[in-house]
Amino acid sequence: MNYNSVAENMPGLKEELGEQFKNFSKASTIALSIVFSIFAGVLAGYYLDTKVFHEKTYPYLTILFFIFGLAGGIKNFFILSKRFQDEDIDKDKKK
Amino acid sequence: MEHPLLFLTLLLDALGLPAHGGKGILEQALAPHMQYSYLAMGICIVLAIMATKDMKMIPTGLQNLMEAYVGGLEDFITEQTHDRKKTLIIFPMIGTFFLYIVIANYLGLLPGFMSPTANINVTLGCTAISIIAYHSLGFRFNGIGYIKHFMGPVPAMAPVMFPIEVFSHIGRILSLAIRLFGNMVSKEILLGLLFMLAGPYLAPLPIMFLGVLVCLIQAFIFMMLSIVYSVEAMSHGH
Repeated sequence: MNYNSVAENMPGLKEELGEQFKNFSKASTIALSIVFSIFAGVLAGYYLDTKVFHEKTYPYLTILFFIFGLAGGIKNFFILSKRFQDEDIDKDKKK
Repeated sequence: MEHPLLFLTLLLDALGLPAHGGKGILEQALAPHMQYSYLAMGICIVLAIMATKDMKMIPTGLQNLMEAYVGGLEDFITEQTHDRKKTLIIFPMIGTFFLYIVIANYLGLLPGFMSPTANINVTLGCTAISIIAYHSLGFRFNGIGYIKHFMGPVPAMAPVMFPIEVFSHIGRILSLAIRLFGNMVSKEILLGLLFMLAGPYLAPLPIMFLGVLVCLIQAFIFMMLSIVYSVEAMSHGH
C-alpha cells in the first residue's frame, strides 16, 4: 500500500494535513512574537539603565520599556490574529 | 561531545585550508556552517540551471517539478497580496528563501553533513534580508508616509506609539530568526544525544521522523511570514 492509494481512499486527507500544518505554524508564530517583543523591550530598558545612565534611573526605564515591549507584543498578537482570521474567512467564501 | 564528522571540512583540511572557524576573515568565511551554506546555494543554482537548460512546451522531469513549484508559490502569494504586480515584486525573494531553507534544513539529515540553519548567524542573515526588504518595499509603495505606519491612528499618541511599534518589529525579527535556529539546533542536539546514549540503530528514528516534518514546516513558516510582513508593509495605512 503506497501513499497514493491512501490519499485516494481518503479524499480530504491531503488538504486536512496541509491545514493542520498551517494552523500549527500560525499558532507558534503568534506566541513567539509576543514573547520576543517583551524580551526585546526588557533588554533595551536594562541596557539603557545600566550602561547608558549608570544605574541612576535603575528600575524605572526597565519597567517603562517592559510596558512598551508588552504593548508591542499585544499589537503583534492583534495584527497577526486578524490577518490569519481574514485569510480563513476568504477561504470559506471561496468554498 | 565528540566533534561531528563533516565531509566538506575533511576535504578542506586535505587541501590545507583553515576549515574549523577562527578569528581571521578566511577562517570565518570557511567555517563549517559557511561551507554547508555554500553547498546549499550551489544546489539551488544547479537545480535552477538544470531545470531551465532545455525548456520544452510540454515539460518533463526537473522542469516539470520546478514549474509546479513556481506556479504553486505564485498562486499562494497572490492569495495574500490580491495583486499580481505586488506578487511579481516579492516573488524572487520568497522563492529563493523557501528553496534555500528547505535544502539547508534537509542537509542536516544526511550523515556527514550539517544544517547551516542550525547556526544563528545564518538565520539572522536571512531575517535581516527579509526585514530590510519589506521596509524598503514599504517606503517604495507609500513614500515617506510609511512612517505613519509607526505612529498609530492618533497624532497625539505618536510619541507613545513609536517605541511600541519599534519593539513589536524587534520581536518579529527575533521570533523569525530564533524559531528556525531553535528548531534546527534542537533536532541536531537531540539526534546527537540519542546516538551517544541509546546506540546508533533504532533509537534516533522517531526524532529523525520528527526532523523530516519540522524541516518542511519551518521553511514554510519562514516563507509565509516574509509574505505576511511584506504585504502589510505594502498596504496603505491603517
